[in-house]
Amino acid sequence: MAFLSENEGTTRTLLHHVLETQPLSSPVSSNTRQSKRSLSTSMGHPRRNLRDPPSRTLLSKQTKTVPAQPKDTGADGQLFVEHYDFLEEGTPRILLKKILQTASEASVLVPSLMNSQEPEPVELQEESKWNSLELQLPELEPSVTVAPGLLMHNRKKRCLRVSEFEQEVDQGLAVASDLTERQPASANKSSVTRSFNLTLATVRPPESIERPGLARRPPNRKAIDVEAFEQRLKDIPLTPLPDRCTYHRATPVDGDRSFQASPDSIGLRRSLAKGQELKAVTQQANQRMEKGPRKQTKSGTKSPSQNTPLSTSSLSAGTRSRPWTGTSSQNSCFSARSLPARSSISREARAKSGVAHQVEEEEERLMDEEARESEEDTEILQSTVVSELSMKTPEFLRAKRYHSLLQPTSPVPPNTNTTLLPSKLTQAKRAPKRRAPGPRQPRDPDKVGLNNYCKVFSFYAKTPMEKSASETLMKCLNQYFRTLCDDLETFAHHAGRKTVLLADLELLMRRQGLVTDDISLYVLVERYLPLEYRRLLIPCAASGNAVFPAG
Amino acid sequence: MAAAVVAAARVLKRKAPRGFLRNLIKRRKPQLHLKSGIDLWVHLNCLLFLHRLAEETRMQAFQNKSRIIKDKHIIAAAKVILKKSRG
Repeated sequence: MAFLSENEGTTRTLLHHVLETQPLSSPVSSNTRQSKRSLSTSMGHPRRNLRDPPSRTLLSKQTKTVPAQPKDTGADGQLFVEHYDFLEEGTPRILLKKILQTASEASVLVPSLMNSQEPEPVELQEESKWNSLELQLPELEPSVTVAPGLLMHNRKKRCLRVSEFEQEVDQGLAVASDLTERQPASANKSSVTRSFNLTLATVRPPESIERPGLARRPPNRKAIDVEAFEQRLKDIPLTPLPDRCTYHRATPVDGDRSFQASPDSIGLRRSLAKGQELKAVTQQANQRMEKGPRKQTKSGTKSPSQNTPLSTSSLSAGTRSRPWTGTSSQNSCFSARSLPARSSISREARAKSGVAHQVEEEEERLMDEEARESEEDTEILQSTVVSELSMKTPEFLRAKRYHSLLQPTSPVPPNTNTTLLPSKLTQAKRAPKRRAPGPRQPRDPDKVGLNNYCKVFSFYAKTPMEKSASETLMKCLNQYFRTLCDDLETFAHHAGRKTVLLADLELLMRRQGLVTDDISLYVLVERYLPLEYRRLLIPCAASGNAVFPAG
Repeated sequence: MAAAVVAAARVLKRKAPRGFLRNLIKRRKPQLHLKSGIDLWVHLNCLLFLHRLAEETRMQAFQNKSRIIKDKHIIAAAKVILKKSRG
């Protein structure tokens, strides 16, 4: 088996390996093996080698599968040995050589699907052929007593037939069951056929063994089919239409659901409530839809058989339905008026269904459980709704709404949910309007001017600044103006005046170090103030012996 | 960086807020009279102060290797400049 792991290469290389590993006198050895082991295995083993050249990967594994195969046919071994000698010409070695000659280098291995399922029918055919027993396998139509020289040609045809037969087998258990049922009837004639029956029953497990990766699947599928069918039969009386619908389409898109559920909802509308709005009906449908998948899950969990694919699909459907229902309820929240009607609908529907199906306690229990689950779902709904609302609404409303949503809900939670929401939504719409004309806080009178100076600062700084920094800048300016006023007052007071003159300011600027001997006051004015202000500040002689800004 | 950043002003408003300045001083020192035109000198003084403050703040920001001016830079600069601009 080592070479298998080593090369996954072409068939050619594989064949070479096979030739190397197999002893020269392979037919003899196989014969000895026959005598030792059960007949069916010895038959199956070389034949398989001969028959499907592309499946040489299985060669090594077949030795494993040999002990697993039945030994019931051992009694009839002698017969088969004799017949097997005809096959000597077509020993695996010779056949392999032929294949080597004919097969292309790069021929890819045939997918293992064919190979795994072949052994069973091959045995069937061979046994039937060699024993010349007319086993009426309807699909097979075995050709009896073929000359050994023609074996090679017939094999391929048989291949086709076998595949057909397998397809039939795969399609349903019914065929196989029929086979098994028919065979005993015909098998009473000979012990060989009886043994064949047994082989049919037991050969199936080795298939799965040959493909360890897929070993679990096939038996599970078949087990599911039967039980699922039974459960479906059970479910049909419980929930007439929608359940089946949902059952069949376990994984369609949400949009499809609403669409498919619509006929049911229409029927309900006709029967129950004529005066209701369409929205209510759709809500009903939604509720129904909620029920449907959940029932599936329940059934899935109830069933003792581990039908994993179905249960998982139904579960996934349930999980998918949740967010969808959330959105639906949110949509429906706008129609708050139709809510009581809707609840009545649901109750009536329940009652009606109960009456129609000869109310059973079990069913009621189911309903209760559903109600509970719906409650749980609504909790989830609320959370989803909250999350969705949080996207839309401002923060100050969020907290409020969340509280309101968290409040314990009444026995029919969707109603409460929907009644709560519209009012909230309207609040959300109104709130900003109310805010806008609201009373203004008394403003700091200095703020505008100081803000103006903040801009001046940012112009001088030539670097972007944080918004929070402007506040500190305002504090700074406040402090500056306070000291400025104090200084001016003290200067004026010192000068014995009550009026602040230019002299005081010049002194101040001198003290601040702005005005020096080199830089006069007027130079600063020229540098920093626009022209119109310069005209106002710098004294200039005008005609008529007058200086305009009189110092 | 998370805080909003205000870009540096491109254009300086040339007009002096004379009324604001006069009101400011009047509010603080109601007994004080102002000669006409003093508000403009005050405005000039304020501009000079802000210029110095801005320069110092930028220095602080550069010292801290930050591209934007933050609170701490202004505070650090104001500590120096307010001391210098005492009368």
